[in-house]
Amino acid sequence: MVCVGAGPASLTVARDLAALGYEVIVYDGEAKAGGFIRTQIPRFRLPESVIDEEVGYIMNLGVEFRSGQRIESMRELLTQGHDAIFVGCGAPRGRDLDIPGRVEAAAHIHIGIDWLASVSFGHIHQVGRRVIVLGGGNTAMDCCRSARRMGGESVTVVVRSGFDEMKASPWEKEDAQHEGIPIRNYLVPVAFIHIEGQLCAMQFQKVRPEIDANGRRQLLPTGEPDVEIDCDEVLIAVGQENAFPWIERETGIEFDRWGLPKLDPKTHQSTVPKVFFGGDAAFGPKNIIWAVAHGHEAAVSIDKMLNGEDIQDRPLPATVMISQKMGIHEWSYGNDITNAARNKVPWAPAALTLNNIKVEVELGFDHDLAMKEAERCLNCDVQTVFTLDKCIECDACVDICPMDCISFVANGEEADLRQRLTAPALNLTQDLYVADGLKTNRAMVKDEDLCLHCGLCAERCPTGAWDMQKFLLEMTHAGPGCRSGAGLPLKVAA
Amino acid sequence: MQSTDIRQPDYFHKVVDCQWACPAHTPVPEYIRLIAAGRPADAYMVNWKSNVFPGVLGRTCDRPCEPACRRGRVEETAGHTPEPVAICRLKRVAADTKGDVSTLMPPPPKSSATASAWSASARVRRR
Repeated sequence: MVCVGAGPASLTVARDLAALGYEVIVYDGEAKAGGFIRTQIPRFRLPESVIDEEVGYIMNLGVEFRSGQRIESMRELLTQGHDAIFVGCGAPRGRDLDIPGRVEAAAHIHIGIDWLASVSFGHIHQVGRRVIVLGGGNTAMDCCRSARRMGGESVTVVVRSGFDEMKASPWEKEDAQHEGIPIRNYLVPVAFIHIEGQLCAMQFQKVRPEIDANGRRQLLPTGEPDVEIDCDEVLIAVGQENAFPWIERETGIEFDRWGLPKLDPKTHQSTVPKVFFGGDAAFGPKNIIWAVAHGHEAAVSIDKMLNGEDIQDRPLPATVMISQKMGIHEWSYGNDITNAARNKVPWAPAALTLNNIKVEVELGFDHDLAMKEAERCLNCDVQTVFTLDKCIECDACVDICPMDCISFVANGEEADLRQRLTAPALNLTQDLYVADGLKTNRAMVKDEDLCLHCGLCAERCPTGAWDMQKFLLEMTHAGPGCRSGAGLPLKVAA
Repeated sequence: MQSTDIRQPDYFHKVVDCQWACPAHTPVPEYIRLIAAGRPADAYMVNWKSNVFPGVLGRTCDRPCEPACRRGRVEETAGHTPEPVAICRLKRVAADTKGDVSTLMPPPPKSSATASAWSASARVRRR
């Protein structure tokens, strides 16, 4: 099978299937595999050695990487007789800004993701003294922090929306601010101001948010005078778009009105049965961990399809429950609850990191901090498991639970029941664990919301009706476990 | 309400807020315990199976697990805001301190039989 693009989605498919003995070929236009991970994430957040190592584990499984070979025609690829094709080519096109001055001052204005790639490849070594970064997502944060390290003395992030609505993760915004980069909100770009193509400033309109009749937030001009911010260079990081100019329409692969492929959301199958999509190429820009999740699902589809099975018929994840009981008051997991606050990851000195774009900012937890932080985990996978016919309704568990999670009450409808518990269960995103049919006709109801998984209920229980059991869930990945065994292998992969 | 059917994989899965929130459903508490037990290589392999790039993600993940973390809901506030466990950066600890994991990796499949054997042994028993 073939993967188009060597980013995280494709590499996940390659790993899952190569380990099973499939012959996997990965194509990418770049010299090294990794895609977005390698080209757009700055080195001060992710050293290249980490990428090399983890891409290496996948390639070592016998994956064939055809570097520097960008697939230019799906029609042609389809004629090569591959059993399956996975498209994981990302969302490679950065949005541009069509406002006055854009063309004239083009030499000093760059698309953020392309600029980051050029920095990553070492094609760009410096940036203007005064830099404006447009946009409020993680790409904008990577751009501004990179610019700061490449000679940008005054770097400003300018965002249309408010600070809280910015798409960047809170910690990435903090990291940028920590490095002395101001973020200015509610400013809409109006024009690039230049003198004969030499960029000197940007003009912005001041806006304020207002909720309209439909509950939608709009940005309305405040009526104040426009703002000018001086600059020598501008990086535009206002979003990414999918682009599939290489997929000819006559291949039968259909796209929706947003330009995204029409896919089965579960199987990732396109309108051409042997072509699958994942990562940013599938449902628009998301992130690495979603790309990985897509890759696993597509690999399941491909494995089932090539074994002649219905790809819609996907087994549930496998689960195992293991009692953690070692003695009367002894468990095989650490059930003490520490009150320690979250530990901060130490940083390398700013004098070092701001002068060299390749020096990693975060040092990572050392051994002691790691142990302290690990202790904060509440072991939520060690479940409170209730056995109805062992319960003698002594209420000892109700008394001892430090969070008032457990109640013995007359059963009822959920909304009513939630109000009548030892402590009302107000977090509707968290389930109630109900065991109905006790001898007194009551039900045991446990609110999962605030349970500390401390095991006191099970320690106190005189009959062992409560037990603490470790719940292990194994996702259904490609391989024998995803197959029903009902289908006949269509073809044995080499 | 109907009695809860705890045999449905989703029921207890949802209780593990971090794992439920992770798109790849990484068994987070399992690997954090392995780190605490001084077994970073095993913690790394638990991650590797689920999310393929633990070293990369331990530095760059969007961390949907952390806003979901129970700790952020229940932490006793001793003068600080309740905060989730630093799940993402613990993943990095597993990657940074694992040592040589090459022998734990599946072998390059000379024959598909060895690969299937790895895959089968790496799976937990199905119910």
